[in-house]
Amino acid sequence: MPTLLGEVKFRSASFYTIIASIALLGGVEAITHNPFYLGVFTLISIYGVLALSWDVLSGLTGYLNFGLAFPFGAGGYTAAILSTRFATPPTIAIIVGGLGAVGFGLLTGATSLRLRGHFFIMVTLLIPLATADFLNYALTEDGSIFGVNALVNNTYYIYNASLLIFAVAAVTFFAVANSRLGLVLKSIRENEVAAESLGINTSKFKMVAFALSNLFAGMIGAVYVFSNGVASPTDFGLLFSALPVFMCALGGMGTIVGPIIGSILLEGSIDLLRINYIQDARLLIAALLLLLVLLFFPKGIWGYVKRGG
Amino acid sequence: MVLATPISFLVLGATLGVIYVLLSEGFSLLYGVAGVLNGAYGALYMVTDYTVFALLTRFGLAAPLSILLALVFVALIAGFVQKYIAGRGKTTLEALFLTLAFAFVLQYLVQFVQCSSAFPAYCQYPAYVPVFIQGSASILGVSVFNQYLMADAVSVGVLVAVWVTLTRTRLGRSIRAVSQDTVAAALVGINPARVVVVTSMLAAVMAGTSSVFLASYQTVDPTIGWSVLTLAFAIVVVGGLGSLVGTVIAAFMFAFIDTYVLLYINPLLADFVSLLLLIVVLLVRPQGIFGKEAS
Amino acid sequence: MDQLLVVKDLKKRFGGILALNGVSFEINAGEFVGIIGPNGAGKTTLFNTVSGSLKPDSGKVVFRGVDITGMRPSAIVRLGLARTFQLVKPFLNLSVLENVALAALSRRRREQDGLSPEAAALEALRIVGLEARADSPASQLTHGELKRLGVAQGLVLDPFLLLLDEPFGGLSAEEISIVSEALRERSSRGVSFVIIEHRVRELMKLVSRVIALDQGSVIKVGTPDEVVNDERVLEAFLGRSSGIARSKGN
Repeated sequence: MPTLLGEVKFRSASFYTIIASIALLGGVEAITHNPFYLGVFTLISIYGVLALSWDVLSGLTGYLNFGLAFPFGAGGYTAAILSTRFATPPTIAIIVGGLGAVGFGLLTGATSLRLRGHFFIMVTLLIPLATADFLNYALTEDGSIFGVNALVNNTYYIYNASLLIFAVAAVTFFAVANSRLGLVLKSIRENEVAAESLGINTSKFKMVAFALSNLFAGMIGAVYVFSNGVASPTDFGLLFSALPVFMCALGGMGTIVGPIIGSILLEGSIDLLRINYIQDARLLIAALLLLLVLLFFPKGIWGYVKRGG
Repeated sequence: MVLATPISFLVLGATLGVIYVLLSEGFSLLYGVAGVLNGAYGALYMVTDYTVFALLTRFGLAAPLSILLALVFVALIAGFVQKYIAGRGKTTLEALFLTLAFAFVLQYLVQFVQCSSAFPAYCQYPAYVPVFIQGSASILGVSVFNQYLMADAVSVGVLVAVWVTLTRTRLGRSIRAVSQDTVAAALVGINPARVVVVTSMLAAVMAGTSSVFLASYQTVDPTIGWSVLTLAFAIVVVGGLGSLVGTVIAAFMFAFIDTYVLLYINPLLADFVSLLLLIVVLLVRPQGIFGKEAS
Repeated sequence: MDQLLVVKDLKKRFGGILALNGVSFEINAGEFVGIIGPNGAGKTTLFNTVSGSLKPDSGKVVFRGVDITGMRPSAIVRLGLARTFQLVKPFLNLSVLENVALAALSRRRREQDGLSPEAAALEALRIVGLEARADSPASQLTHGELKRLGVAQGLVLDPFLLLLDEPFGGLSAEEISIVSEALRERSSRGVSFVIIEHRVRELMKLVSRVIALDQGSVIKVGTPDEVVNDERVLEAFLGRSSGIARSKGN
């Protein structure tokens, strides 16, 4: 639907910020070969993709998805199975992992997107938790844990893969958010009933956003599994669902730039504050930072910047 | 453990159910009055656990005193959260986010205090609150821990006290007024904000009380807040948001289901089954058993 | 296909209240029909069931030969039947132009008219006199401007039949004149309208036929004069909303 793309204004402060962030993350590779720092910035990219995936669905449509861990883990498991059972090369496994997450998402989305508000939040929150519980049970009976031949030696591959997915996600989602499709999604957030009455098939568009979100979350989940060497039930854990949400709230929901800022700040502070005595408190400091920003900048950092400037 | 007979199922399910009722009614009350889901409810439960643990083991206080102090402490925190954090959210969504963020702060704070390089002497992972009421009694031929029975007694006592407060006191009437119509309540001179703060303190006491007795049977872990929050939310939703009676019925439902799965199927699946039930209810009848029709 | 819309025996109950009690009527192509009735007569519920916002308990709605009973609203809009709301709730954080452009995405002749949605939206805004406010956020509109925005959204959809729910409510005399003129112009081009209005005097200047509702039932169908002078209609109105009595007195 070319009409839905419309004209996207790429010459804007938002887009330049996105390009800058990609350059920043990419630049690390040029500056250092220290695996620790590469690992940290890989994690930042991974959470960046998760936060972006959250924003393109929830920031735009207002359907607050608290279960991003589901496509994340589903993509990881899909890639792991492909890699171990079908000897699929990692790059293909990652892409198919993303598609697998979309497939599983069709099931969960078709049912959960019918709910509104708090109910949607709770169902999405619970789906990955229930999945993890079930997998824990199934695996204990089975006695095995899915494993993937770890590409630990190839930190660069992992780093580049996450960076590439991050860059593609950021640019794609920026285009979506600033196109007519983005307008349609925002109308769902503003007033779904009105949008429906104006001829917009809200169910269809919610699924589109959901699928986009799941695609990238699934792909980055596959990358994560490859970097860990193992696909396990903890991949469906609460942290992968909750952190991206907080990163978007911190940076500014619905802005696409916001999640990038939020993930850099939050994940950055979690990983880089490894100094004596402060080290154990880094999660606490991150949580406090989040709370303070939410209290005083309810629209997030980028939301505050946009309003002022 | 106990032999899995139908009688033991009934008795254990019932004793657990009473505690679940206390736990979920606190959440239900707060939702009915504040209209907002308090994301820090589970964290408050967890903090009570830890406070009792700290007072009992590190400061050597007697059990009743520890419990009392812990409850007061948690009530104050809850009031503080409601007044200065959740209350500052302009929409229910913002309040939810703020309380969730605060829940994480509490969790990491407890983790830090309990076990960090700053306080190396105190690290003890995982923590166990010793059983402070020893022994067990025989109910209908089933052996039940005395601590559970005491928990039930206290729970019933607290619930009765809450019921009396709601129906007979001025505070209770204010609470009911605010939960029915905040604007109308304000028009007759009630301060809704203050009522919500008091209610949150009441809810915290209810959560804290249930945690105190259950603590001895769970590992005290900073992350248990989330399963508690999910459980309380699940019960309230299935029972019907805003229906105190529905919450009671749903609490027993969940208690019996959890007990059943624990005894007859597989302990690992207990959480999964509860979650599955909740997902099904949310999809089929989001307003719960006794809830009003969703608008 | 002369019969544009056929409503057959619509029933809708809300708890203890029977909002629609077997409502039936037809609208022919090119007609301009008014619906009147005291508060609670079921007028908006009727619109809601016809446009798909609500599912009727029983009865049928057939539009241009297609049974649209229970279809989702967006599908009905795409078939060429649109409606406006009594209480306009726009997309507050979007601009006025964006509000109408969103509707323009689904306009009937979008493939043929060679316009971008924004261009079509601007044209609709011009017709209702809002083009100067195109870039303002919708949250800044006055009540009258909001109502006109709703009309613009309805018009830009280019429907065969447009249902308008109290489009004149709260409008100044000048705004009423602008909107009436817009509607009359469209009507002359073959668009059919059904209007719910309390401002009966303005309504009577536009419509050729009136349907009177009371307590979920149709009590009279006829020309404006016939309906306004009908005993049952007067009885339904007197003592409640006195729109008829006032306009009669004038």
